Formats: sequence, structure tokens, C-alpha cells
Amino acid sequence: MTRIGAGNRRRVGRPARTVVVLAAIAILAAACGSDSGTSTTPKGGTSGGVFRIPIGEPKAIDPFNARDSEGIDIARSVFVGLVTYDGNPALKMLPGVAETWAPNDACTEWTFHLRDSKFTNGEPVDAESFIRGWTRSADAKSASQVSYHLAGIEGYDALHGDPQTATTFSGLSAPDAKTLVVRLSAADCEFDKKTLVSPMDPVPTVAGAADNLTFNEAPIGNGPFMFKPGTKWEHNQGITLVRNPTYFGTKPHLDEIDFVIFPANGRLEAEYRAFTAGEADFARIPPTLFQQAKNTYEPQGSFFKYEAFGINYLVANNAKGVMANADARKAVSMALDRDAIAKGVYQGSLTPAAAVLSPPFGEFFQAKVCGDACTFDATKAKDAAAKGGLTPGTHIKLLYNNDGGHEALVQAIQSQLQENLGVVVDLDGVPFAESLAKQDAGDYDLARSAWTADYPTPDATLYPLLASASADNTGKYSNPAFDALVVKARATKDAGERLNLIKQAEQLAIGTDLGLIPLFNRTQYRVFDSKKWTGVGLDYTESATFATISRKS
Amino acid sequence: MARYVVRRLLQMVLVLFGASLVLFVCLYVVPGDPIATQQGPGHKLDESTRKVLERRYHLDESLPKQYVHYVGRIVGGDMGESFTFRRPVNAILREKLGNTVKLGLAAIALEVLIGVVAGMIAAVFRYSFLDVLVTLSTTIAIGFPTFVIGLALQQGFAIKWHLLPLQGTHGGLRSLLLPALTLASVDAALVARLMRGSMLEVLRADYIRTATAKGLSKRVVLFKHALRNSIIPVLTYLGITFGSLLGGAVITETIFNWDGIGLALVGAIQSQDNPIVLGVVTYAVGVFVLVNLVVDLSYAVLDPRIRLN
Repeated sequence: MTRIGAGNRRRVGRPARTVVVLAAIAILAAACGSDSGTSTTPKGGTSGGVFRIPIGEPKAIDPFNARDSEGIDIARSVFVGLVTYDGNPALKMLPGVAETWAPNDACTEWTFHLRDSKFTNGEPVDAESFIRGWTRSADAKSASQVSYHLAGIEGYDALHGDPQTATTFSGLSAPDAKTLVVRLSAADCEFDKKTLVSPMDPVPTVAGAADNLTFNEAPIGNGPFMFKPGTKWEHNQGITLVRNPTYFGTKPHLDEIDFVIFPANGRLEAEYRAFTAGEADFARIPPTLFQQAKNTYEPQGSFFKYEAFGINYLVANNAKGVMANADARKAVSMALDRDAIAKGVYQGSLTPAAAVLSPPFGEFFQAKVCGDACTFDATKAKDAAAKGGLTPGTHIKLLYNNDGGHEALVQAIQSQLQENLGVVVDLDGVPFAESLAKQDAGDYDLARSAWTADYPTPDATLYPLLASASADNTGKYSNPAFDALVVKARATKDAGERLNLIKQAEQLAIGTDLGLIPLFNRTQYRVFDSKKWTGVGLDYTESATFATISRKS
Repeated sequence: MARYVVRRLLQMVLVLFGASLVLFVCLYVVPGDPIATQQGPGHKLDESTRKVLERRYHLDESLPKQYVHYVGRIVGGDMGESFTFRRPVNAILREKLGNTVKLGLAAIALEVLIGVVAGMIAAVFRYSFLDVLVTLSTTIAIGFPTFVIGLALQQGFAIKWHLLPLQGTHGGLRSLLLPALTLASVDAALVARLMRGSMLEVLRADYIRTATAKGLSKRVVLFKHALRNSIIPVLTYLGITFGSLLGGAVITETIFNWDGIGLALVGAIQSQDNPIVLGVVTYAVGVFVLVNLVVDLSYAVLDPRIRLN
């Protein structure tokens, strides 16, 4: 679960990586058990080639703390965990190191049966490798900034707490080398999805403690790619990965990925300019150049769109102030002309949202869950405002982070609300961390925000953003009926029943209460050199699908 | 001379100490939550990890104690650990310093080459077409902000004609050309003007007339007598400029994504990575003071009348 903030529109601080790739690999591996050192012949392409991709300097590439998009790019290429995911709309996990897995009836204990596989140093990937990796990520001394992924496992608090009262993970056990048993502190029938993330990757014994600089700079993994022998992370320069000949799945087509590191400042523009100058094969697109990029590269087949597991939305202060009233929230929502903002501010690159779960959630997606409340209607908005106590002249404080290029959006919202409701919108722009602190303190009425799910499950959006117990529910929306539905869904094994519970929960939180105000579905665009490459896409973590990329034949 | 150098070095320690105090107060006393900022967008940092990180960086101690830690580290040559990357600041600066020095040296070389030559030509051929040309072009170069020159060069040489890399430090000498030219442009113009004025003054001096009268060739008069004497003010200017350049050229490094000290500083300020900010500024102050010392010493070498004791 990731909150998107400071400006760039790629997800940050979120886990899981080359998964589409891995999924495809896993399927093929299951079918043919390929184990040769070369890749299979890709459809419409040939094996080989060096794919050049610009990134920023990662904060960490060691899976215990890989947390920004570039760090995850590397970690998920070099490591693979228990399961993989190929982007299927059923949100179904596919085999990774685990060939089979299942929870007990109560979903409080999961058993994973592992395949024979190895790290690139020849060490076997066994249950101990996972216990080692997970313990290393959760250990308080490691100070991992993404250890929260493991918080549902029994023993996490003792291992991660301050003061720390345990040095081992009591919820993890290995009855034999090929079996990993995970006991959870509360029922979770979708726990397997959470194991997609980097802090839950296996590590070899040489990984040592989290501050082992040798491993931090050139991690030894078990994924489709590995560090080019003899190389390590050249800070501020680049990282070179090559195909892992001992990878258990289908080998990637690319010989090599060159991650070229650009300084962080203005990186989006730098990436794009590098692409236009022919110095990169793939790039993100700065929002201001979206239309230009589309006009130039779409006709060439070098431009593509990806609907992400996320939304842009307004946090509404449910706890106090003028937004504590559901009718007031609905009035604001109905007073916003999302289409006009999408065209005027985002050059048509975003689509209006009327649900908190975006279209990629497949059968969970309820296009109309918000009902009339997410449809622009100034008259209805005024009626709702009168009902909700938003009288003309009421001051609404709109908080936003001023380090992310959101000025045009908040100004559009300000102008529309003032015009359609007669209220006075006071803009409050502060740096991202301060914006979160102000939300915690309740010092706002509305706040611009964005969220992308960490795992391909609705739970990774609904729970953090709307459950009473979630620290990330900064709007302090609280409805015991919603909480009960989400908790019940977690503990429900039957997928159909879970689907119903999730739909009910969203209906309650959005359709009835409008606990937060959806604005736009998160959509990503990329450009790539279509003269040279085929099979380029994004996986659910919004990273390039390195394992499916091949040279054009 | 030796006593002078020692005295200046001791003064430098005082300057560094004062600068460190001002910096520390600026960075640590002003409001902000550097640890929360490192977490960035995403899940909030949990309390346990926050406490571990605060202990690790002494942020849980009183400000005077933090300052003592900081000064203690600096004295030992240790700039601390980056909050963002959890790597030694020394290592990070080392990686970027090479790029900054490379860019600084290239820019200075261009400044000398373009500025001194243009200035001399303008002075020697006073009021000629060449003089007017130099005056005009230097006025234009000084008038344009660095970033305009940089962007214009990028547009032409990289985007339109694909002759040179657009940005970055990956293309070796070819990558260096545009940022060095951008960085040198304004200063080269100033050097040219300074050189012209200084040389005109020297060319009017009695000893030049004497040298010409005793039959020395024009070249000897110009290069041996006039150049040597007229270059002192230019050298002062170049010295100060070089000190600044080694401290990082923020604008040029940003435009060209030149991965040097200046760019590191900008990034660190934005992410509240205080150890990097402190490291860069402490380093920049040190270099500036040192380069000034070297410039002062060079006067004595160039002009025997100057005695430093």
C-alpha cells in the first residue's frame, strides 16, 4: 500500500517488481521445466540485446529495505519470492519458489511447499532462506522502512518492537527444508499475495546482517537476472544485470539490462530527454510533455498506457470540521467537474474515478459505487451543501504537498468549489512530510492524496485508507460496519463470498458514507523504442516487464 | 612565507568552525522532520524504526550534544551517514567530487583560453572591429543567465544536431563539453573584459614603452612584460571563481544532470538529508578558503614586489 506524493507520478515506496514476467516464466516453467542457460525464442522477437533504462539513484536495492521504485526495479529482478503474479484480472497468484501453498481452515497458518532452486552462488533456496530473509527484514536493528509488510506474522512485535524482546521470528518454522510454515497473528486468507514484496524474498547465508555493505551493494539472489559478474552497484552511475543462467523459470530474453542512473533532480525530464536523444530505450513522461509525447510516439507504436491499481483522491477530514458531515463531502464531490480537470490540468491523461477500487481490480471494480455523488451536478451539489451545513462563505482548508507539482489541480478544485458552492477554499501548500503531519493533527478539511495498492488485492486499498485501526487512514473515517466487513473478508476463504463482502464494504464506505472523495484513476504512460524492442509493458508495480522484453526480429 | 601560511591555515579552522555552527543551527534548529521525510510517500514509518533511526543519528539527544557529535566527527574527518542512503557521506561526496572537479577544471581552462585571448586581442587592437566584437559578445554573454545559455546549447548540439550528449556524466569528454562551455560562458566574458582593461592600463605604463624603446620585439613586450603584469587582477578573479566552481555549480549541474557536488546539495536540501548538506557546505567553505590562500600566495610568485610576511 503506497501513498503517492511528491510529484512524480510513478509509484514510490512500493514493493514487488518484475512480476508479470515471473508469472509468465512460472507458467512456462511448470509446462516445460526449462533449465537451459539461454532463453526461449520470444514471439515476434529474438533473444539477446541490452535494454537501457534510466533510473534515479536507488535508496536501497537489498530486499530488506528496497522501497523506492528504482530499488524495487533491481530487487525484483534479482530476487523472486514464494509466489508471482502476471496481472491476471482474477488477481490469482502463480507459483514462484513455492510450487504449492495453502492456508489452514481459519487462514491463520499458511504452508508453502518449495521447489528445488538455487541462488546464483549455488546455495539452495530452502525454507531457511525465507526465514533468514524475513527475520532480517523484521529485525528492529535493521530499521527497515518497509518491514510493515511482515506485521501480520506472529512474533513480529517481539522482533521488531522497541525494545526488542526476541531475535527470532516465532511465527516462522521449517518442518523440513522444502516446507515453510507461517503462523499469522490474525486470519488472512490473502496472505500469499503479501509475499510478493521484496522484504519477503529469500536471502542466502552470505547476506549477513542488514548493514552488510558487500551484500547491500551487489545482492546475490535467485531471480531471472543477476548482477553482471564482477560488478556491483556503481553509485550514481549505473547497475548492470544479466540473465541468470540458473534461474528456475523461463530465462528472460534480454542478455542485459543497463540501469543508467540519473541524478534525482528533474529526473523525469532527464529520463524523457535521454529517450528523445536516443540515449535510453524506455522512459517515463513528464506531465507537461504528455501531449507532445503522445502525438510524437503514439503513431510509431512507441507509446503505451497502463491502468494502475490506484487512485488520486481527496482525503476528507471525517473527524472534525466542515467535512465531518457526509452530505458536505458529497456536496464537494458533486461540485467537482472531474472531466474538465482531467482535460484542463492533465491533458486528458487521467480518467475520472467514481470508486476507490480502480478498474484493474477486475471483478472487484464497481464503476458506479459512488452513485450520483461522483457525478458533476452543481444544483445537486448546492442542495447537499445546504443539508450538510456548507453555507456560502464557509471556509474549507485544502491541504496539499507543494513539492509535487499539484498546484494546477488544487487551484482548479478551489475555483470549482468556490464557483459551485459559494464557499471559500483556503489553499495550504506544505512539503509532503508536513502535509502528512497536518493530516494526523486534523489541521485541514480536505487534502490532496494518491494511493497505489502494494499487493493486487482490494484489501491493500480499502483497509489502509478506510479502516478505523489503520494509521494510513488519515481522514479518520470510521464505520464499525465497514471495519467488520473488511476483517470478515480477510478471514473468508471462499473467493466468491469475499468478493461480495468487499463490494459491500466499498458500497458502505464510498456509496453511503463517501469517506474519501475519489478524483481520478491512476494511469501510467511510458515511451519505448519500438523499432528495437517488443514485449514492453508494465507490471502491477508499474515497472517495465523486463522478462518479456525482446529484440524485434 | 611559512608563518603567513600557518596563520592563514589557523584562520581557516576558525572560519570552518564558525561556518559549521551557523550551518548546524540552520539545519537542525529549524522545524522539520528529516526522518519522516526519508520515509517519503507510502506507509508511515512505525515508531520502532523511527526510534532506532533517531538513536542511530543522535536525533534523540539535545541540540548541544548533537552539535558536539557533529564537530567531533568533522574533526575526525567523518561527515556522518546519509539519512536517505545509509552510506557514509564521505563516500557519496567522493563519488561526486571527481565530476565537480572535472567540470570546474574544464570551465576554468575555457575561461582562461577564451577570456584571456579575447581580452588581449581587444586591448591590443583597441577600437578595431575585433575589439567591438569582443565587447559586444561579452555583453551578450554576461546578459544571458547561465540556464538560458545551457538550454540553448542543449537544444542545438544535443537535441537538434545530435552531436553531443544531452546530459549526464556517462559520455566522457563529450559529456563534459556543453556543461563546461555553459559554466565558462559568463565568467569568460568577465575575464575578457577584465583582461582588456588591465592590459590597456599596462600597455600605457612606462616600462612597456621602455621595453619597446630598447628594441624588444612586439611579441616579447606583449607576452613577457604586458601579459604577466596585467594578469594579476584576472588571476584573483579566476581564483575566486575556481573556489566557487569546486564548491559545485548548482545551476549548470542541474541543467545537465551533471552528477556533482552542487546537484547533491540541491537533492539533499529537498530531502532534508542534513548530513549531506553539512558535508557539501563544509567542504565548499574549506575549498573556498584554501583556494583564496593559494591565490594570495601566487601573487608573490608573479609579482616580486609583493611580500607576504
